[in-house]
Amino acid sequence: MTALLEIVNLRRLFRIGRARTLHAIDDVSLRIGAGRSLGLVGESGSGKSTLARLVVRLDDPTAGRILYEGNDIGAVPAHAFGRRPARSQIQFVFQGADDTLNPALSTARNIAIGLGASGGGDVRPHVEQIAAEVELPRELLERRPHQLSGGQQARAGIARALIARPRLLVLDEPTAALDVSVQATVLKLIDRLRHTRGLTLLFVSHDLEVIRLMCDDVAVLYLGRIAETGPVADVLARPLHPYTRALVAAAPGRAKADGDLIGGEPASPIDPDPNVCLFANRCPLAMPRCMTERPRPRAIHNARIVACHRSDEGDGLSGSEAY
Amino acid sequence: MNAALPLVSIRGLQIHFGGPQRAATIDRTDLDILRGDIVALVGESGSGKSLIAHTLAGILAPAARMRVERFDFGGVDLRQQDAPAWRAIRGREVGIVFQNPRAALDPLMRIGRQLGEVIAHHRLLRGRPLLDATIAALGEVRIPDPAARLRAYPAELSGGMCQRVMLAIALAANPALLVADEPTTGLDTTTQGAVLALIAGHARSRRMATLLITHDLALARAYADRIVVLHAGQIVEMAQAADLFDRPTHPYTRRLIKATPVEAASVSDLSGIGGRPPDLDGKVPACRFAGRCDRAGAICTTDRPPLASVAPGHQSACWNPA
Repeated sequence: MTALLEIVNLRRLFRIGRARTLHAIDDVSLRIGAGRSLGLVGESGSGKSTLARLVVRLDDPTAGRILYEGNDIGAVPAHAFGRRPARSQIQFVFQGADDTLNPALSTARNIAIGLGASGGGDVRPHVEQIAAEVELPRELLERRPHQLSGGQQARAGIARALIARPRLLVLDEPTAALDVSVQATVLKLIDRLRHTRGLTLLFVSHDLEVIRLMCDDVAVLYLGRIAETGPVADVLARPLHPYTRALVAAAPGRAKADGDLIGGEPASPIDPDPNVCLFANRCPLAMPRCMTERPRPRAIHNARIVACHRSDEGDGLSGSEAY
Repeated sequence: MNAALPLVSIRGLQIHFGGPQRAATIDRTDLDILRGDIVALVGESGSGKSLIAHTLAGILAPAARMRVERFDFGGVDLRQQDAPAWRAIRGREVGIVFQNPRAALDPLMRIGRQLGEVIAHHRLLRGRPLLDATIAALGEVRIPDPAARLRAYPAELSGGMCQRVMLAIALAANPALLVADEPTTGLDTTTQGAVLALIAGHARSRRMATLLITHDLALARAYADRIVVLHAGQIVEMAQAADLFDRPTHPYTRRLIKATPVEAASVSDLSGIGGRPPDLDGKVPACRFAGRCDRAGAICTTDRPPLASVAPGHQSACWNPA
């Protein structure tokens, strides 16, 4: 299967002061097949939003490639990317109105921005059609974003992204600020649009249950690196990386195996030691090798990729067979 | 004191905002909390969860007009407490933990001093004993290497660590009641579980009554003994946590559970609740869920259903329960 999006050895480093470097995204490789939905989970500081911004080309990578249909769009500077045809094919939905909608413009004009147009005249039928598709009542189109409810703002943000007829939709915590009832309707809308429009999704969330419902595959990020990827049902049922185990065990509503809950704090992403596993300081399974050699992502089986020296010990890792 | 008596007993709580034409934001609500009991109060935003937390902490905004028939706290009548009386209760009898601990801590003061001030105030300690008590208090909320962390500023700690410091401050006087208002919202998943497990551990070991305010049903089920469901300022159902999920009887509770991702096998299982809570300035039905409810009848708009027992320890306020 050819990938619609393939990320190869991607890096995004931020200089801090004169001599220090923050490794926000560090050697990440991922692929999403056309029509698939990939979930990106991780905690704050794991780099999931940075990765989303790189993919939609709001930010430039330090190194590595972002291949869209085989073309390296990462090589086009972010400021020039807006004029490329690929711009309309890769669209994004962010959390809440603050990140996505211009407060000075009506909802209709905000949606029309997705076309690169002003919202008057001949784009109006387009706007109304897309508003109907996301179930945003027509009478709300003249309102400003702050006059909409949270759910309506989310729909407007989705409409803005969809009016350009994208193939790849990057969603960064699209429902994190919504009440559970509104979240349910927005998730159903996204899922329906995905299937009716044949969209490919990159879905960023801190909520494993949302990822489970919305995605085929999942990638777990830890401090800017891939800890584990694989089919979402498989990863949740049998997490192989000790961090994924901890994440699954910490999610409310999931059975907890003793020894899977972790304490401690993530290591610093500033100038991390390239020879140490970044999870070793919190890892219940850490061994001397983890302090001298950073594990590289390796393919295991069932399309699973795991970056852990102990992943090939397989099922016997900690006796946790809760799922 | 009789252990079976609730620590907190509230009857007929009403909280009004705005003019006399506006319906009460909290509508005649009764609530009991037992010692050692973790009660989760769940509901959508705007349901009044935080108002009830603020009532129990004595920090209702001046614009709120409260009326209450009974407000009993460990045998003390709190109905007519003035601000100085509340100051003696708050902190000593009632500990409070809020969302966004970084905003609650003074950014310019080392955490050892912030916590130490509170311990000094409640336990009348000074010097070396105060320092030892402060280190011990940080240890009790599982802050690693507490002696070294005394000199840290809030900005040098993660959100989870700041919330642990807030919890240590709230627990400093060994309060009978802990009010935790969305204590883990905004924290990471792994941190969230650790902080709630910590709160639950202290609630058990100190036999402390705990009111946990959360919008997250899955969290409530994982950490609370009892769940109280609030809709538009009315308690619609309460039950033991597992019982509420296994046998919800109020239509609102059922819809809330149907909207929760953890309960869904696939996205098609999810469904929103539909509609909105009534506008308090307009015509408000007696059961405030009536306008959103597919089981509503004529009586629902005219008579408020009483909170009635449907099973041992399980009460529901519905004329036509499922």
